Amino acid sequence: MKMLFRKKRYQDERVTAEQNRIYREIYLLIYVICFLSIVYKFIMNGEISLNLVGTEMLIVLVSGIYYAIRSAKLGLFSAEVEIHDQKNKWSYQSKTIFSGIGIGVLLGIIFGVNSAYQYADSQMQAYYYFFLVFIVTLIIYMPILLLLMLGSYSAAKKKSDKVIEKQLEE
Amino acid sequence: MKNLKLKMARAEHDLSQAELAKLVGVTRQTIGLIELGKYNPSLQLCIAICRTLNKTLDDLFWEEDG
Repeated sequence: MKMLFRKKRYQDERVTAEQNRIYREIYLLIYVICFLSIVYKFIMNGEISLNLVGTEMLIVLVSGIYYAIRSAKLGLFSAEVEIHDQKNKWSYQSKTIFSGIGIGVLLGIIFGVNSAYQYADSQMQAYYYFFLVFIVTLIIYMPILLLLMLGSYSAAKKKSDKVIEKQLEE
Repeated sequence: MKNLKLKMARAEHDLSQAELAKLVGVTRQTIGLIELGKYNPSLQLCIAICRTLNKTLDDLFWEEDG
């Protein structure tokens, strides 16, 4: 008798699995270090500018984009969406849309509070500036964020579906 | 090497790849790739598939020589 899934050379799966777990922890650790670095720089300088936190943003953005591209090219993204949709009431696509709206609202609040705090001379003016900047930020950023998030979701899903269908071809 | 035994056992239960995947708790793609012999499942996943299809590990994942 022989096993159906016999390999020519065996890998120690336990060692590989443990190594992968360590790599996953390192990835999280780098995120935590970047986040703490941003907080520290904000406390020390009293402001957040791209000049100060550029490296941290680059690490977070590039690793996120790299993961998205790799998971789409390996067909993993389709599996992630399928697993998510099986287990959750809200679909992955709905969550993507709500994330876009959420980030837009959050940006609006941050910019609104910043304007009210920096430029208003009275309380009434502070409210006026807050709502004005909040609404304008929503109008400008919300469509861009939604397009960006839905667009990248659709492109990744389409690519991933195509790859996995090719893999499943006999 | 293709796992035709798994494909046949799934057919016996009148299950699609997606339905079996849902029962086992994996994706349709994973079941498809196991059937095509393009993915080696862990022992845990093999057992979960066997339990779902009322088969033994020998029934689905071993083949006789010759």
